[in-house]
Amino acid sequence: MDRAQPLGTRARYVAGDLAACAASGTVVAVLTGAFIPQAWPGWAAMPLGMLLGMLLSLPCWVAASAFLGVLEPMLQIMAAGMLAGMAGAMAGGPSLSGAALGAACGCAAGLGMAVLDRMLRRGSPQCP
Amino acid sequence: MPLSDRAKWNRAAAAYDSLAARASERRWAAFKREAFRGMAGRVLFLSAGTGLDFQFFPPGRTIAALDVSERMLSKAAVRARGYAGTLALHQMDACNLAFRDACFDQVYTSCTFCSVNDPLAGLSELRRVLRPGGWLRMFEHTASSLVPLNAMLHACTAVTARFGPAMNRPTVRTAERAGFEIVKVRNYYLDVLKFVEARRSPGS
Repeated sequence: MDRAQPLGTRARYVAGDLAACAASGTVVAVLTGAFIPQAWPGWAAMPLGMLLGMLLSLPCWVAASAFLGVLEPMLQIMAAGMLAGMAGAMAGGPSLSGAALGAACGCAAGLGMAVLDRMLRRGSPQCP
Repeated sequence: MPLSDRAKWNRAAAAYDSLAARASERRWAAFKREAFRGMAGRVLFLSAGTGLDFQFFPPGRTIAALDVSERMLSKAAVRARGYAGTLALHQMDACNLAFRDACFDQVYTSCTFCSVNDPLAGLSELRRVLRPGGWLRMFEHTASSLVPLNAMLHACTAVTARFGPAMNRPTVRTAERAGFEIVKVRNYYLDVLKFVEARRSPGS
């Protein structure tokens, strides 16, 4: 249990982060779907989609930072971008299903980071 | 004083509050209040920035706050006037402090060592001006112990270091190398945003 930040405040920020991750995942998946040719094999499309997704997430986290803070959205949206980029590349062209997959990937990345955050708040044995 | 650091933060001063800091300050308000509540005695605080942190200081303390950028400090001066205590602002580089040895009881830092050009030199300077047995308390974002997170932080640094902070500094380890005894580390977000409590050994 985090004593410093009230639970309501934390819940509000987690919800905001998830929404931002889902929105950026949608945008990134559609754009990577548009940029990466459908004919490309999966082994090439996936890593390129991940890289492209990471780059395309940059304007998303810059925009989100004005509302949600700098550090947390940056890491979460970047993770969402990488996942959604892979999904967008595999979806084959910009499509509604690709966009939905991107949103789902964004949510999954956001949730994954929230869970990891809860685990790491208990303390890290090796502090860099 | 490395001109690049000063120039970078002078350039960032105009849009700093609106683009980056205000939302983070809101989000981190409870953490910062907790981190700064132990302020007592003669306190050195860095970096002052535009003075957004002053609202989290407990009232009635005697604090010397410094920053490398004069433009940041000109904004901070307005906020310093609202502090119910003694708050003196100084333009100074963390790596070259114009204070005599052991003249502070406590040193507080807030998101400072992501931006100081030479963190080891800066932390060594803080140790010099801190009295033996005095506390260094840092609210900092650092590198992560997890490899995938660290890779992301390195990637972010390629962008953020051009106009602001580096995201991949091993600040806790650097504080140890500078001669501080790490007493407590509390993670606020992942193992990246953290509160570090360190001490200058009484006999040193």
